Amino acid sequence: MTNTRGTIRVVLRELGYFFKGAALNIFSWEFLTVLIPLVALWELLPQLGVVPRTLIPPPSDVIVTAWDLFVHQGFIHDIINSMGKFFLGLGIAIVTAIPLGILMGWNIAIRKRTLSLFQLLAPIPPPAWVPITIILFGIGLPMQTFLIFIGAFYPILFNTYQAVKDTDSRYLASARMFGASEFTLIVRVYFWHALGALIMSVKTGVAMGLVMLVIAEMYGGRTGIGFVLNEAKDYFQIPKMMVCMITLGGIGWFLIEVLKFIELKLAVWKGGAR
Amino acid sequence: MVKQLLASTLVLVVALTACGSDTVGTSTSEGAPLTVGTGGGYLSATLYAADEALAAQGTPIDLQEFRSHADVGYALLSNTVDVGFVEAEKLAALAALDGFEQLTVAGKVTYPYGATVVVRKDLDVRLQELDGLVIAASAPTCKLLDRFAEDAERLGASLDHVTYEYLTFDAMLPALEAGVIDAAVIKGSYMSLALHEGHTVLYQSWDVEPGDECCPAIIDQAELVLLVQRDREDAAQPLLEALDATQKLSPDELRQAVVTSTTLSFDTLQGQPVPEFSRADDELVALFVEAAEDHDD
Amino acid sequence: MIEAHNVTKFFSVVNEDRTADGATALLSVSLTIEDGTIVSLLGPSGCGKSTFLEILGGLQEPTEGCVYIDGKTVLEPLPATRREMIRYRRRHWFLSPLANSLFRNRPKHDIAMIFQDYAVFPWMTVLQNVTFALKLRGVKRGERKRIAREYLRKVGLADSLRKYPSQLSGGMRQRLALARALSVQPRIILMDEPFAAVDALTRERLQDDLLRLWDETGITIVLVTHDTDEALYLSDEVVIFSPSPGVVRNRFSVDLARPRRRTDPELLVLKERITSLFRYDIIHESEYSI
Repeated sequence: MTNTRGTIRVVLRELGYFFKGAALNIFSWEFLTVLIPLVALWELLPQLGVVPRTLIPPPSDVIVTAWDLFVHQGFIHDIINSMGKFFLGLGIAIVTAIPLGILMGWNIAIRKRTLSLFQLLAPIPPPAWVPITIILFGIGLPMQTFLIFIGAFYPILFNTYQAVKDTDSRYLASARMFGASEFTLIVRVYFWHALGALIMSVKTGVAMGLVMLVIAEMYGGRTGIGFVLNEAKDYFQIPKMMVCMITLGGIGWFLIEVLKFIELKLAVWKGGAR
Repeated sequence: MVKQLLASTLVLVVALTACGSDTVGTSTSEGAPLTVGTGGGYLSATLYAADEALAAQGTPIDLQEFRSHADVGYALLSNTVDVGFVEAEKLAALAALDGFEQLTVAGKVTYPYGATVVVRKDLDVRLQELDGLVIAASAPTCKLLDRFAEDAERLGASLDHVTYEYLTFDAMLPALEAGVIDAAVIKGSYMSLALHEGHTVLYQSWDVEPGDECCPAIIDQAELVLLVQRDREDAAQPLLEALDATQKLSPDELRQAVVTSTTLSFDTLQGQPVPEFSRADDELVALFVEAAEDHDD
Repeated sequence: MIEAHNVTKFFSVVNEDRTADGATALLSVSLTIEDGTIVSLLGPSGCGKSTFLEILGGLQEPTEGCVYIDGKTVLEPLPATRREMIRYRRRHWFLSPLANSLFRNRPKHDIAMIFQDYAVFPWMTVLQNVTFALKLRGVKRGERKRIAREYLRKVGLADSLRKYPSQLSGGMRQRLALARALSVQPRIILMDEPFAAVDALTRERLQDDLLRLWDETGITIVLVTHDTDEALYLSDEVVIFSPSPGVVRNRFSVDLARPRRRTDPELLVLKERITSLFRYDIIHESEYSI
């Protein structure tokens, strides 16, 4: 009982640290000196008629539209729907690309049999997968998930592989001298040595996954941020488009902050002398 | 702090005005071929025919196909094209945007509304077996749906257990493809696309009187409207004349023009009504002016 | 007892124009190291002494010859004929014999190794570094922490158990490596220039620590160094390597009782003899090059 309470307290404390850190990043004085003028200009230029207000709606218009979208049009369901697909695709990419990358970095026999294949497939821009994906999976969740997966897969795979391959041979030799099995080496040495690059690769994966989310939602399905964005474009609703864009940006920013926080927690040992 | 704020504001102002001065875009110079934007497809049949005729006359136009007719709207606003076809139902939305005041309406493409029921390609059902399936319609009270329901009843098909899904016409075919719906009540102009994607037409009737929310009578079955940049009205005259001339073409000649310019096959188009081009009548101009005035308020 | 018989190591290199080339790192090195002694392998860089140490520890195969520890082979040399090589490749297509078991690569000879750049795992705390080594050696869970604490106390790291290596100084990191190597109670410790990366004062303290721990445990220490003073101060025997190809040039016994003084005249005499050997090398080389 006290244990669970203790865990909850720790979780709450860590959450507090996270939000404080994230808020400090975006509301730092240095960044505010850029953000405030930017938003002010964005508000003023359309208001003063320097740029056409209907084509570049100022933040005040966008906020009104956002309120309407969230309160009356159930935009939150679109966000949840999109995030569901996104995390499914990204999750599958993480649980496949990281082990595969580790195996490829660890063993030359595996690397020789797989690397060329992935090097051939990786340069194919993810959007080019759309037609064949539609043929294979039809239009719907599997196809959308697959597209997000394919966007995030290669950056994670190659960064993981490279980082594992570059593991300092001294660490391996010293673990081997103590009798480490290859499995122990993978779990206790290769993985940890590659951790920083691994989280970096997931950050790239998040960015690519968001790109593919929007593309995937242009095809099939009638919910999701990408769908709303595209529909708003087709019906000349520019403020609505901007709400979608800002939402996507915000989601990306938030996820990167989460990853930065995880990195900080997992890599305390990189802290340097204190 | 204040200094920093001022400095970055100044930088931004300079940067933005530098970009802003370019946004208006430059009008195409005289003598250059007329650029025409369209979303393509069967509805552009008259445009394809006119394009061929003008090329034969030695005054070719620069035909630019966009992914959708909405994109043509943006191209018109930004003065990328001189002339363009935009969906009639989106005219009001387009009128709300800046840049619309430099446009004028010149004509329209009409196509019979027609009540058409298409069934997903992997389903093999007859009219009597529709009961219990999911059917998309554009609104609960829609002439197309009424027409269909009436005929279905007459033919002894029951629709009591049908689940209706209300979607825009644009969304129906993707939803059909995705398997979200089993069948859709579409208007005539979407039929060629449905056939092209491989769905089967179960029911069709061209005997529909327009006059409600999903088939507004005011623009009298106009699918597309032709918008022209005001300063290019003279240059657009040959195109308009060529489009007028398509009225004299036989339906098969128009279909052939579509087959030449797109990937649609002649068989798909056979037996379907053809789109017609006509000059903007008073009704359409009135609608246009109304939309433009809304914008000015 | 460590016995090296005619150990030869040949590295093949592929040049930029795709022609094969090679370098002989070690040529027919034979050496016997008695139990419980400290032996230094001394020589300029590139003389193959580190390669020799790795062959002793089983981190590299010899091209020819063999190393025996208490009569048991450390690693078979690579096959000499083309035919045998093909069979060898087929047998080890998935993993090289250096990592020859997927699940256990149990230490055969009770050796521990200390590297120049410590090779302590930066993602583990001081304590975890030692308990991890103990775990790999099959020490029971309950015992690990106790043993680890004991050895960390011996090297003076008792107060830094929860710190990470990045929070330690170079000298402390080397102490950690020492504690980790000793904690598994090996019979042989191989050290590859262990004190090269720390400042002179720390180095002397670490050398004294090493001697004290050696005195307590009586293990065999093989030490690679390029520091003549260090070799003479620590060792029972100094083996001089000379480069291209790496061969054993000379062997000096240091029959001085411990504790030694660094300024002992006998050591200085030995040092002068060793230095003159290297000096001769340089003259020798320049004669050829002219």
